[in-house]
Amino acid sequence: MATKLKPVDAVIVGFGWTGAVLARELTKTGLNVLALERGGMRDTIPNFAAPMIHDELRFAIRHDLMQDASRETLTFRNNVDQTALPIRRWGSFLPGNGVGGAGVHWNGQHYRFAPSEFRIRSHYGERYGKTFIPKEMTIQDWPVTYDELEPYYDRFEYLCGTAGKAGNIKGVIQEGGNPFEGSRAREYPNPAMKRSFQMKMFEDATREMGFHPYVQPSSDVTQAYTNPEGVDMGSCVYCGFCERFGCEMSAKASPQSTLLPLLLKDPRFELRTLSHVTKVNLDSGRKKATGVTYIDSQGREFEQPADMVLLCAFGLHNARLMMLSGIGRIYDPKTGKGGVGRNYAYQMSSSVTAHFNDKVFNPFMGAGACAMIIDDFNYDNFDHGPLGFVGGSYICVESKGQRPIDFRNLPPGEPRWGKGWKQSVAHWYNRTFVIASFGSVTAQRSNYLDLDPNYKDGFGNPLLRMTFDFSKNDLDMSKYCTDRAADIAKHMNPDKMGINYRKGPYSIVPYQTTHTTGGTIMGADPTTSAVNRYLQSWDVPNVFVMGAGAFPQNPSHNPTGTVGALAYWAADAITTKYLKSPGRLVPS
Amino acid sequence: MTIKRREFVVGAGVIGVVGVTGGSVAPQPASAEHAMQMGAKQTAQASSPAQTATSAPPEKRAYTFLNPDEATWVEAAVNHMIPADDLTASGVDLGIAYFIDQQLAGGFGQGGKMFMQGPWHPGVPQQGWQVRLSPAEAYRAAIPAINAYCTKTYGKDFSSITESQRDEVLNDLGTGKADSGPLPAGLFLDLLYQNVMEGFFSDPAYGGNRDKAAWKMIGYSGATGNFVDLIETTYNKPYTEPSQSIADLS
Repeated sequence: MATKLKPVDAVIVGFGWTGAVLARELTKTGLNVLALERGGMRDTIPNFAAPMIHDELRFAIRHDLMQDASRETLTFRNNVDQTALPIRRWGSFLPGNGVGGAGVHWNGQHYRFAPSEFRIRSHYGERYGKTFIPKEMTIQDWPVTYDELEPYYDRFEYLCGTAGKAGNIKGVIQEGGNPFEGSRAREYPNPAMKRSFQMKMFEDATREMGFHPYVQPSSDVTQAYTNPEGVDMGSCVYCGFCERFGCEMSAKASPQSTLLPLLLKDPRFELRTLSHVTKVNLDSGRKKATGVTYIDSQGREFEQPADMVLLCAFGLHNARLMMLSGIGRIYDPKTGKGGVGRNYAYQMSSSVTAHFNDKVFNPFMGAGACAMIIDDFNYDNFDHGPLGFVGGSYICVESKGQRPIDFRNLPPGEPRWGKGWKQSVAHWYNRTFVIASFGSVTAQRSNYLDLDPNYKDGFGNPLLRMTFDFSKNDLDMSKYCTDRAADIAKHMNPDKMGINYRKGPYSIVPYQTTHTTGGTIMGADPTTSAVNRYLQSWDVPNVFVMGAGAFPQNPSHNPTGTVGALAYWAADAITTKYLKSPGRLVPS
Repeated sequence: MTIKRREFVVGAGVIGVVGVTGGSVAPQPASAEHAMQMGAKQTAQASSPAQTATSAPPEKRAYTFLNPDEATWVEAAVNHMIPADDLTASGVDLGIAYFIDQQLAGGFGQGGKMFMQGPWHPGVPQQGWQVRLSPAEAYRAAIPAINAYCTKTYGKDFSSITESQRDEVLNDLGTGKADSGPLPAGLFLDLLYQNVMEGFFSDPAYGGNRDKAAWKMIGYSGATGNFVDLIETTYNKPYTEPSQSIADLS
């Protein structure tokens, strides 16, 4: 029997980026906010201390900061003809765990999506005709525009101290920035990252080819910075341990380095760790949440009443929690109806390796968001008419710290072991770089999330089931963009090169990216989305659902910038609209 | 049979945990405890130019998971994948077999973070690991099967066949032509290969990569990390500072 606790104004489920942003915004208005985090407490000191944190095996390979799959995982199949089986150990993507969530171990790659992305279906229809989008492709316009989100993008970038060079300020294209980006109100808060040798080579080559290189926007901060909340951040030292690691310098923006110090001092805020939420409780009419149920580390069950429930876990968990709680209608691929679990999408990754006998790249120097990018083949920045596919990729050279267990790119045909392999890796490790392509995934009718009928977690609740495969559209897109990356490599005249196309079927074995999107998508129509434009549940209006689960499809660029912007956007709607008149913010 | 295995070990110049003293043939240890005692007899002989440069004799280390047959097998595989040459000492001398033993004895090998609830089905390759065995159990199941396959195919077990035959077996494990017992084709080779690479390139704190030999070989900086003043000033110039381990920096 659950112990009933003292009510709070708002309960947050999962304390990562969005939990931290909402906690801060809501406590500012005087609300009492409780955050329940299933994982443990972590802070820069002592959890991310160097040299301990510079341990590739522990953090990058054994996934020390990630969710423990032995307790909770999800099941996976490519299509409904297969039986979904549990992901028994992580591969393709890595859900995080603990205070700060994925905000601890991300790379700091901090993007905005292009304005056209927010009205993708309308945009393609207008430019290429209504029949251009295949019937099975369920891409949707976002219920919010780029211009509406711009101030919130700005806010999150200034919170993080994002380093970059604007490409478009108030409609005026800026030299050195990304000319394809949407108009922004002002410059980035910090100057762009330094350029490694391989980034400079890519920059020169792509410029010579007529493309538009820019330095990746980075929330690995480039100088000592005090954010608008008054929190001091450190300056990045380019140690090369970002992705899957915490930052010992407080230079990588994370909940810990941007907001947590304030929240921990705030009497209106409480962070309760090792508290695993199992469901959102609804009243008898099932139109109002009364709070959540969680289980502590001793197995004790608690009922936490709250006026508002904010689902701030990773997108996959938010979708599952909605399903376990009976909030909204679970998507059915046969009928195409139901908003929860709909439009699960991913990101297409592929690469070209370029190998130079007479050059040295020191590939261990860098940072998670130290890269040179072109967007010339991203979004609708190129003519899709003759190509026949929707979407695109950004193409880049990243200097994010090539640690040797994971990153040993040899030219094709080299031995895998033995003396020949040793000679090859000794020669090429330092003389190779990768041109990567990261692309969009269009939503498809057959790709979705629901509850698994066969497998349960340690609490006896059904696991989430993922049904996903790459579509022909996305494989065609990825092939095209990988070939463009190969063109760039050839322009640099390497001694050897290799091309690694992304091929189907989708496999959960090799790591690709953790940019899982969809499942709790935002939309204008309650029959084809889980939440409205303010990330408010259509069905239970005192439940808000944050994160990349809200993306109607995966736009290509990395999600965190938009995840943060949407959190501020939703927080603004909650504090300025919802609190004054609790109820539906959008009529259904 | 046992003697032949030992001879192989001697021939390969290995100074391993179940190793030899002064070139004489050591009896096969019968238990982990015995292996520990045997470990005490090991000597620090230089087996390659790279090893001559090492600062101290290898630490006495005992296997705590691998049984003697498994130890022989893993040592042969490790030295096949990472042979001694003018770049580094042999994989066993670098501690990679010991690394694997320790990983198998610990959380990774025991499947500590793997979801191990049934029901179990083979599934399709893109669904990943679906065998009802932890990584340590996979080694335990595969090694006798591979030795049996080698005996059937070549008349000798894995540690006693020629280098080119060993190459063939490893490649055939990848395709499924060589039998790895109850495991699906390719799984064991992938696991072994991953663990050998981990033992070669991970921080020496885990027992492999002795003296940061693998890091020195490729010019990797290690656990050190402040390149803010170098990233834009070392274009096309090698980094010349020594590799640093976590212990060096602690």
